[in-house]
Amino acid sequence: MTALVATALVCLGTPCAIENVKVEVGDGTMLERATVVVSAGRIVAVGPAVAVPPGATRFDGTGKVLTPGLVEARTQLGIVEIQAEKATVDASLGGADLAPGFRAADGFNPLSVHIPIGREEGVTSAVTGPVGGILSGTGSWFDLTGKLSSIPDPARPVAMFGAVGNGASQLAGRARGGLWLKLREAIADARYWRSNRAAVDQNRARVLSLPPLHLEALQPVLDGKIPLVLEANRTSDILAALELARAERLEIAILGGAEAWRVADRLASARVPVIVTPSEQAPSSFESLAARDDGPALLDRAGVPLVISTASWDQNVRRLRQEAGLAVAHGLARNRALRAITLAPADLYGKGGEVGTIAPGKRANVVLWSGDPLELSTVAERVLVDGEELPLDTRQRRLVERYRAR
Amino acid sequence: MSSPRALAAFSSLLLCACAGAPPSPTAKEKPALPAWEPSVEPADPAARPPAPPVLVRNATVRTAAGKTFAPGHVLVVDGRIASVGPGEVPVPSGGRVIDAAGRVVTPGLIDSHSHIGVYPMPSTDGNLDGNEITNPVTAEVWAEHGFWPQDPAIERALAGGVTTIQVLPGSTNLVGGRSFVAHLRPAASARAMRFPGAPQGLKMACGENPKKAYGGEKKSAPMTRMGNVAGARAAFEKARAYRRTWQKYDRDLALWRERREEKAKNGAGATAPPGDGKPGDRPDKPDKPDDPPDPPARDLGLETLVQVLEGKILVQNHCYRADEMALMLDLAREQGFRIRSFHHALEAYKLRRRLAEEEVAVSTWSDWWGFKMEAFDGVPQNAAMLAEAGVRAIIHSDSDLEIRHLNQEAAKAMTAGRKVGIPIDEEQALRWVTANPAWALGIDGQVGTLERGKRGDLVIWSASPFSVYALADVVLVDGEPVWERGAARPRMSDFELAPAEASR
Repeated sequence: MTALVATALVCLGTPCAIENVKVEVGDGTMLERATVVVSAGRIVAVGPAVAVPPGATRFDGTGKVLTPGLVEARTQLGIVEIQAEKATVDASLGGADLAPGFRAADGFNPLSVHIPIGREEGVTSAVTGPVGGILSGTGSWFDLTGKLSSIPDPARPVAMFGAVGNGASQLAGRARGGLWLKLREAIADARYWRSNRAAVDQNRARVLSLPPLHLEALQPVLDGKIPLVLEANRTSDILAALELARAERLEIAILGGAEAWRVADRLASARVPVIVTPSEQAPSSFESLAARDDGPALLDRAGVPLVISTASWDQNVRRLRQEAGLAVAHGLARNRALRAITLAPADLYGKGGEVGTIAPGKRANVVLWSGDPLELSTVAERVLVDGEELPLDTRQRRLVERYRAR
Repeated sequence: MSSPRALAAFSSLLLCACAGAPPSPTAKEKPALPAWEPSVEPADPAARPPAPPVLVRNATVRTAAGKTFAPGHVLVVDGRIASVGPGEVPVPSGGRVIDAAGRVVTPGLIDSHSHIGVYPMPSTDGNLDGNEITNPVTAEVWAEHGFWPQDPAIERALAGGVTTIQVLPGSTNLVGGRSFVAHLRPAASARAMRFPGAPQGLKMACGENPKKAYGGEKKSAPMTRMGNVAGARAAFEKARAYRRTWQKYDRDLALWRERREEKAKNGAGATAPPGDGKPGDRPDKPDKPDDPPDPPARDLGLETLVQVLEGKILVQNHCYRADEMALMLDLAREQGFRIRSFHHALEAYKLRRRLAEEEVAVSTWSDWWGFKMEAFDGVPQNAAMLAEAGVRAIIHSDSDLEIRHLNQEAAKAMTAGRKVGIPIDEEQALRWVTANPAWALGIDGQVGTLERGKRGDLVIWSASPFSVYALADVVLVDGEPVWERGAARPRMSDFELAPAEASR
């Protein structure tokens, strides 16, 4: 055992340096035997021959791999504790079709026991977002520190979440035409509200499909400040979403994208990211009949910004690196897969300048792995957020300790 | 095949007709056409013509039976493993040779818990055939009768290296019905996919699902875990009473035959009814004092439970919490049956010593947990802790997606164990998805390891099956190449046939 394993990585007060470590930068590049210097919570230097500042704590990373903290692009972490227990579920507005003003952050619980479990497997940031509607509400970015300070500001969401497939159509007369009608109406009303705000407040406006707070929540979407992340799987649903984005000049991303490979060229030319879950590429519903295991690889090859997520595994975000590995098994380039769980989701939500790669100036959210981070035999040995090493203790570990002692 | 318990047979009606023929004490008494006697055991599918011989050479052969041969070979002749070991053997004429080029060969994987076919892809209202949610005890229904052999998930399970699955009814019912073991050689009917000689299972369920499906949804029993246990106990009490009525019938029939023989000896033979006393011998005739006794009415559900009491049907018990598993073990002891495997069993690690003592297997996941209250104490070390305690641990899927990477799930469970200092080796982890589920399904004499005489079910992996990058390249079932990655061929399921598309 090296000193690295025996000592805590304290990179807060004094700088620290991880040396001789293989660095998977997150943008697709890799550095063999590099040194990464962290100071005041930031990465300050990365490279094969960087100077270690005097007084820095030095750690030998020989044989280890350093990656950016992994980013889960779409989860209900922090807003669902136990899916089957209603009192612990804060993920949707009771089956509402249109709830853009619903904010996941309002229900976020940083003390969820799921959070340390995700962190234990190297996930340091995630976007938690609502589900269930045509427009379900806004999602927020948070770090998996478990600290009270990790509660996101509900007024600063990173995305609006919605859906345009089989499930959503059930909320709109059980037909796709119904959901698009409702969606167009909500967007039109949001535009109307923006230019007739006083009239609405004075009750002199036309009838609106949604109350003001909902329409207000749509404004950053209309302005292209946050993406509208639409769950869409069937080819024609994806095309309809692309058309919506074009006509309304919205930034969108596709979530699910089971059949997205069939229109990969159009997604690529529109620069629309697709969030996929590689383990779920199967004809599980009538909207994913053309799903194929190499779908993620085909999207990437066509130039579609690819993001990998554990998606329907809700709180089980610890599977994120396995999902990336599965995509590699089915043809995705390994460095692209790593990018799809680090920089790509960070970029999607406008966080690419802060996290997602190991580069000078970025927040020191890094994970030290025992080996290839995508491999099943590898463990996360150290997890740092803002340069602070966080405990890898979980309630599950406590259970194991208790019962192994018996 | 090892049977959990050999109980004395009590009635010719309920005796296992494993070989396809009803047992009969002497040839003299055997009626020519016992049409009245129901077929208790379904006949196994007709044997298929064996595949041509196949030799897999130049492989790293992991037998799951304690040996690895590198380089090694597996030779399958007439569907059975004729040779497995180091180096090479000659191929019989007409045989195919597959050069594994150093790749890893393992037994075909076995999933002890699947709903493929009864909850098929794609999810539709029309094909929800896994839960008979009309009564908390439906021992009379069979998963085999709800199985859609065109489920696209079958091909995808094969692509994941899985060659055998147990298809179970769902878990809304305390007693959900009979499972069946399917051998994944696609065929036109469930019966034709039946794993020859495999015993059926009985799906039982503890916990939240039955009480929610009935108490919660229908406001009928069971509404609580109290009701769950009462319901299961009552079902077996009925089965035991049913067994007694048949035992009494057997006694009465024997007495009747004795009396008839005595009469014959005493010279009254001319008046004794012909035949051996079974109802078919005296159709449409009014009762007479000398008539043989009437058999009890057949009850298909109770018949299933009686076969459980006899150890012929293996109990597969969905149960999450340790305390409930303990209750079920007590209940089984009280009623006189054995539980072959607990399923899901996220808290089995808390009960591992008793499970080891009572020789109950545990089918679980690597890291699913927390989705409901009874799943809240799940830990990824469950399998490893069970294995350490001597329990047969099994990684199952319960999912038509998860089944596609059972090998990876075993790998993760192994890593989780090692992380806390439980030294699980790859041989053990491989057994979690091969030999151990074979035992839980009662087919360990036929599959689960690569040993001479066993069925030629094996997988050639593109890399170590414990690697996330590994895929199944070739999958053999009874020596027949059922799946070959990259082979140009249409989808197996009729459902997936699609017309050619015009260019865009």
